[in-house]
Amino acid sequence: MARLSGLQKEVLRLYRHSLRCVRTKPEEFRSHWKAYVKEEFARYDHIQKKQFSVVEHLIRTGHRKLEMYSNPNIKNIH
Amino acid sequence: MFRNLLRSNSFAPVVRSSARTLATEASVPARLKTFQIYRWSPDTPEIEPKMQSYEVDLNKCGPMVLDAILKIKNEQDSTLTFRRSCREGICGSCAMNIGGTNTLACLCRIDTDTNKDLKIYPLPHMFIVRDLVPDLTHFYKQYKSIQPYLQRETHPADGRENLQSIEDRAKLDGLYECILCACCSTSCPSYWWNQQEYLGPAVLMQAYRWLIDSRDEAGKLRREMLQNSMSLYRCHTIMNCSRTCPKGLNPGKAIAEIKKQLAFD
Amino acid sequence: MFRFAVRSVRPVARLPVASRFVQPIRSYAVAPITKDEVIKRSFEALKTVAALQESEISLESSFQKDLALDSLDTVEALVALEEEFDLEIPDKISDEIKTVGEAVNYIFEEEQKL
Repeated sequence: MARLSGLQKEVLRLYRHSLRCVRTKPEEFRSHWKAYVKEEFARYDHIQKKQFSVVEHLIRTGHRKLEMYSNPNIKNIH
Repeated sequence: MFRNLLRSNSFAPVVRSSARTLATEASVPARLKTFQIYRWSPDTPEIEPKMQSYEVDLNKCGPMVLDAILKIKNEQDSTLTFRRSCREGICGSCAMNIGGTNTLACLCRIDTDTNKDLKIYPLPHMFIVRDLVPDLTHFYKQYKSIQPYLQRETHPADGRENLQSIEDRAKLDGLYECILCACCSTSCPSYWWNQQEYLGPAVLMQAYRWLIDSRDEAGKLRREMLQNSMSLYRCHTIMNCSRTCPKGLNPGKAIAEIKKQLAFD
Repeated sequence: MFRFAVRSVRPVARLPVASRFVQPIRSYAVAPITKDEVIKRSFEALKTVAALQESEISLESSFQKDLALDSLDTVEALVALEEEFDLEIPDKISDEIKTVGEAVNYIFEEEQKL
C-alpha cells in the first residue's frame, strides 16, 4: 500500500469522524446511520485520487453534511 | 411645432403596421437570443462544469433575464437549477453573474441585441451546489457573527417599542434596504481571497447599520469585534461592491464610516 | 454481549470507589486492565466489523496486507476499537497504525494512563 496523500488522509479523517458520529445517535437507529455513511462513501468509489478538485469538493460537502447530521435532534435516517 | 409635425407624420405608418401585425401574427420573425448558462451537477462531480447554450425567442419571453431562464427551465431543460422567489428584487434569491456583472436576474433586462450571446454564471468565487446555485452557508454564518439584532439592557417603562427620533431613523436609510443577495461580497476581490476571515461588504454594511442605530447599546462590543486586521481592514476601497449593488446601495461608504468610527476608539 | 457487560462494570465501579478515599492518591479498586484483556476485547470488537467477520485475526496481522481491508475498512476497524474502549485515537496516530498489534499497544498504553 503506497503512502497516502494529504488529501486521502482527509478522506479517511472524514470517514472516521462520520463513523464516530454514528455512536451519538440512538442505539436502535445506529445501523441506519452506519449504512448511510458507508453508502455515501461507496458512491464515489470510482473517483481517482488525481481528481483533486472533485475530491476536495466531496470532502467539503461531506463535512457540511456531517455538521448538519451531527445535530442531536436528528435521530434517524432512512 | 416641429415636434407635433413629426408625430403626426409618423402616426399613419404606425396604424398601418399594427394592422398588419394583427392580420399575420404568426409571420413576425422570431428574435432568437442565445443564452449560455453555466452547468455543473454534484451527482457527477467528475464531469467538469460546462457552458450550455439555449435559444429563446424574445417575442415570446418577458423582458427580464429571470423570465428567460424560467422559460428555458419550463420549456427546454427542466434540469436547469437556480434560486428564485419574489421575481421583484426583494428576496435576493436570484443573484447571479449576468454578462459579467453580479446582479439579480429579476431586475436585469435582457439585452435585446440578438447578435450577442448572454453569458450567465453563478456568483463568482463561491462553492457551487448545482448550476447557478452557490453555497451561501459561510456568508450567512458571517452575518450571524455580527449579531444582527437589537441589543440593549433597558426597556421602555411602558413596555412598548423603543422610540427613535426621525433624524436617528433617517440614519438607517440606505442600509436597512439590503436584502443580503451577496452580489457585493462576491464581487469583492478582497472577499474572494480572504473569505474565511474578511466579513465582506454586505455583512460589514449590516454591522454598520447596527452600530449607528440609536436604540442599540452594544456599540462598544460591536466595535471591539471588528478591531482586528482581517474582519474589516481587508477592505481596500476597490468599490466593486457599490458599483454592482442591484439595490443601488453603497456598502463601500458604510465600511469607510466604520473605519472612521474605529479610528476614534 | 460480553463486551457490553465488561464495559459497563469498569467505569461504574471505579468512580464511587475513587471518591470514597479522602486523600488524593490514585488507588485502583479494580485492577488495571491487563494486556491479555485488551487483546481479547480488541479481537472481539474487530469481529463485529463486517469485513473481518471471517478473518483469522492475530496481533501480527496487518489490516491491509493480511486482512485485506481497504483504507476505509481499516478506519472502520479502528473506530470499532475506539468504541469498545471508549477512547478516541487522534487522527495523526490513527493514520499510522498498520497492524492489530500496534492498535492494541496504543490502547494498552492509554489505559495505563487512566
